Amino acid sequence: MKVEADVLEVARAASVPATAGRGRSLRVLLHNAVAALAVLAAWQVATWVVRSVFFPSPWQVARALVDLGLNGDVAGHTLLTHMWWSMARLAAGFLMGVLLGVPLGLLMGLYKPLYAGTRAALEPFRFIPPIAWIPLTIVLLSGFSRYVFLIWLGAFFPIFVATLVGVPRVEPIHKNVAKVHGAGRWYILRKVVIPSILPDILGGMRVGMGTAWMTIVAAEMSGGETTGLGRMMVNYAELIRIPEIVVGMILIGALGFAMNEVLLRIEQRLFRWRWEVTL
Amino acid sequence: MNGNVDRKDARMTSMKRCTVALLVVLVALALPVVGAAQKMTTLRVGDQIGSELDYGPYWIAVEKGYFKEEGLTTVRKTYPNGPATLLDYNKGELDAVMAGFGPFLQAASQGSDYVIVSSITKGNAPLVARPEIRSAKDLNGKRVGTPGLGTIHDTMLTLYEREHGIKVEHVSAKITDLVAMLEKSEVQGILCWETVAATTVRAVKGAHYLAPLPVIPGAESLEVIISRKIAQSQPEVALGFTRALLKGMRYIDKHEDDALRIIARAMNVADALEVAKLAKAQVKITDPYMEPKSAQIIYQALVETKKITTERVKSYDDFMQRFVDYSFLKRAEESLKGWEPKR
Amino acid sequence: MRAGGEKVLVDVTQRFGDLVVLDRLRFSIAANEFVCVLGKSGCGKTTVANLLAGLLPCSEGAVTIDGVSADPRRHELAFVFQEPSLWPWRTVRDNIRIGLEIKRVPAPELERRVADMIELVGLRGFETYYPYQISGGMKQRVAIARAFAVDADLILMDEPFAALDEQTRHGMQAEVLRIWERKKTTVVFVTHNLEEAIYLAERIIVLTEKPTRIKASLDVELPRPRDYAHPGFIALRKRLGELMGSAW
Ligand SMILES: Nc1ncnc2c1ncn2[C@@H]1O[C@H](COP(=O)(O)OP(=O)(O)O)[C@@H](O)[C@H]1O
Ligand SMILES: [Mg+2]
Repeated sequence: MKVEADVLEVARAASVPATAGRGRSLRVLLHNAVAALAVLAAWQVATWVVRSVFFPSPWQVARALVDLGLNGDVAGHTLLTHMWWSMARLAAGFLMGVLLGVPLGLLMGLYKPLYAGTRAALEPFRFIPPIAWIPLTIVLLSGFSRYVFLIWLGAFFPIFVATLVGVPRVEPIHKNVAKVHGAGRWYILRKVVIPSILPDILGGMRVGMGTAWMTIVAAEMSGGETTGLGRMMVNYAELIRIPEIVVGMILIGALGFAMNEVLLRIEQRLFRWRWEVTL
Repeated sequence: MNGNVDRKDARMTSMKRCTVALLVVLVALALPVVGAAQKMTTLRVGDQIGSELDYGPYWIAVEKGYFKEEGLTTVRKTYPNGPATLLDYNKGELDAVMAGFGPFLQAASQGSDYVIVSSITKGNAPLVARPEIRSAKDLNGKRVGTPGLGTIHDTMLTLYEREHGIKVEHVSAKITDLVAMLEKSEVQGILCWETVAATTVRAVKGAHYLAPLPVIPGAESLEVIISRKIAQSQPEVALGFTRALLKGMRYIDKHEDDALRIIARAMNVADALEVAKLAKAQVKITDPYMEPKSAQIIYQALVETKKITTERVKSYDDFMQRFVDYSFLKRAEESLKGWEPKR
Repeated sequence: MRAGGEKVLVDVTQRFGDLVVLDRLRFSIAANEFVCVLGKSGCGKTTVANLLAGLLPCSEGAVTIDGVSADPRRHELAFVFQEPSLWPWRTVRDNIRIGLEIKRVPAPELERRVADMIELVGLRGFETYYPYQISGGMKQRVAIARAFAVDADLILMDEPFAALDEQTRHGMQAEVLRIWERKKTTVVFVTHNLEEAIYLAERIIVLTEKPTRIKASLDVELPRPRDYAHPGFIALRKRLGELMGSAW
C-alpha cells in the first residue's frame, strides 16, 4: 500500500490555499482599492466633462451622505430607517421566495408529470417582470404585503428554477450508493438529493437576491409608503436634488454587495467539500 | 500604366457624378426646410400627464390657431411630473415648460435658469376624502396621498395641516395610482391636481371634495417659463408665445362652455366634459399674473421643510427679481387692447 | 469449495431498447463463494452487477438471492462501484457511515465499526478529509470500507481497481481477500483483468461478447496467497487468454 505517496498528495492538495492565502488576499484587496479609485476618478472626470448643474461630483455626494446621515431626510426619516425598511421588505419577500421556491422546485423536479402538467400555466409567469405587477398590486395589496409580494415574485423563479433543474442532475451513482443499502425515498431526498443540489439552490438564491433588489427599489418608487431607499430617491428626484439620489444608489449597491457576500460566505462554509465556489 | 490612369479617371468621374447627385438631393431636401424656417418657429413645450385642464389656455391657443398667428408651431412633450420635465429642460430638450411653482423653485435653487413669462393656473389643489372623513379633524393621524414630495400639492398639504392644527402622514404615489389607493382605503384622502381629483370624486363611491380650494386664497399653482436664451435672443418668439397663451385665457373667460369642450377633447378620459366641468370649479386658469401672497407663503414653506436650500436663491424677492419677467406679458396686453376672442 | 447452498441464481435476458446485452445468461453462486466475472469491456458486466443489486429491473427472467428476487431492501448488500461514488459533501468518515446509517445501526456500534474499517483500509488520520482532498487510491479504499462496513451477505465489486496503478492495485487485492477471509461473505467481483481474476477468485465466470452468454466457468484451485509465477497460475492465465480471444 502506497500510503506515503498518498500522504504527499494530500499535503499538496491541502497546502495550496493555505500558503497562497494571505499574500493573495492582500493583493486582491489592493486591486479592488485601485479599481474603486478608478471609478471615483472616472466619475470626477465626468463631472468636468458634463458640466451640468444637475450632475453631482463625488464631493457633493459625500456631503449629501453626511447630511442625510446626520440630519435625516426631507420627510423626517433617517437613513437607517430607509435602509432598515428596504432590507426588512427584501428579507421577508426573499424568505418567502426560498420557502416556496425550494419545496416546489423539489416536488416538481422529483415528480416530472407534475411539472409537465403545469408548466404551461406556470412558466409564462416567469417572463412577467415583477415590475409589471406593480399597477395590479396597487389595486390589490397595501403596504408591507405589496412589497413582499413583488419581491417574492422576483426571488421565487430563480430559486425555483435552480432547484427544478438541479434535481435531475443529481448523480445516479450517488443515489445508488444509498439504494444498495436499502435506503428509502425520504432518505435519498434528504441525504442525497438536497445536499447535491444545495449549490444550485444557493446559486439561484444569489440570482434571486439581485432580482429582489431591483424589484424592491422599483416597488418603493411606485409609492404608497413613506420609507425605503427607493422612496427616498424618488422624493429627492422630485426635489431635483441629484446628490441625494446618488447616495441612495450607492447605498443600494453597497447593501446588495454585502448581502451577496454573506450568501457567498455561507456557500463557502457549507460547501467546503467543493474545490471552489463559483461566482 | 495606361490602364491605371484610365481607371483613376473613371473613378474621378464617377466620384464627381456622385457628388453632384448628392448636392442636388441635399438642396432639394433643404429647400422646404429653409422656406418653413422663414415663416414658422418651432417651440418644444413640456407638460405633464393628466393636466390638460390646468394648461387649458395652451390647448385653446393650439386649437384656435393663436400660436400659428404668431408664426409658432409647438411640439408637446409630456412627462410624469414637473421635476422630470425640468430635468429634460435643463439638458436643452425643451424651449418652454409648463409646470408647478414648487418644482420651478427647486430647479432654480439647484442652479437651473429660465424666465417665467406668465402664470397659468391657480388653485388646483383640492383635497378629496373618503366618505367617512367629514372634516379636517377626521383626517388627523390618517394617511393622505399626494402626487409626490416635490409637488406643490405636498406643500399645500403641509399648509392645510397647519391651518387645521392636524398631523397626517404624507403618502407619495404616482398621480394615476392615487384613485385606486383611495378606493381601497390605503389612504383616507388625496390632495392632487385636477382633473384627477374630479375623476376620483366621480369614480370612488362617496368620495367628496373635503376642501375644494387650497388653504391659501388664490394659491399660486402653475407657471409658464421660456428658456433664457430665447427670451434674450428671440424676444419676438417669447412675446408671441406669451400673447398666444393670453389669448387662450381671454377665450376661456369669454366662452367658458366652448373652451371646456375644446379642453375635454384633449383630455382623453371617459366623460371628459363632465369631469372638466366638475374640475373647473377648483381651478383658475385665466389670470396671467402670479398671486404674490400665496407665492411667498409657498416659498417660505419650502424653505422651512428643507425642500429648497437658500444657497443659490437667497429669498423670495431675489427669486422674483431674477426669474420672473412680465415685460412680454405687458407688451402682449398692450397689443391686445380691443381684441375680442371669436368663437 | 461450495460451502453453503445456492446463494444467487441468475437467469436473465437484458435489453436496452433494441440492443440485447445479456442473452439468457444463466449462472449460480454459492454462499461464501468468491466469484470473478470476467469479460471484455462493454459486454455487460456492470449490467450484471446492477441486476444483482436490484438497481435495474430485468427485461426478462429473474435474479434471485436466497430464493427471493433481488431487492436491496430485503437483502444485506454492499456494492463497490466502478465509477467514483463517494459523496463529495461528506468526509471520509461520514462516507463510510452511509450503509450503517441506513441500516440504523446504534451509535456506539456504528462508531466502532467505522473506526475498525478506517483502520483496516489504512486511512487513519484522514477521517475528516473530503473526497477532493484525497487521492484516487484512497477514494477507492473509502468506497471499499463503506461496502465492507455493513454486514453484507453479498458483496458486489464492479472493477473497483481498474483506475488504480498496478502497485496500489496489488495492495488493494490483498486487502479485499483479507476482509473476505475474515468476514466470510459472498463476493461477486467483476473485472476485465485476467490476473486479477486468477489472483482473487475461487471460480471465474468468463463472458462472451454481446449478446452475452457464458463462455466458461473455471474453478481456481491454487493455494493462497497466490503466486503470479506459480506454474498453475501461468497455465490458467494462458487458458483464459485463449478463451478471451487473441487480443489478450
Ligand atoms: N442504461 C443503459 N441504456 C442503454 N444502454 C446501456 C445502458 N447500460 C448499459 N448499456 C449498454 O449495455 C452494454 C453493456 O454495458 P456495461 O454493462 O456497462 O458493460 P461493461 O460493464 O461490461 O463494460 C453497453 O453496450 C452499453 O452501451
Ligand atoms: Mg462496467
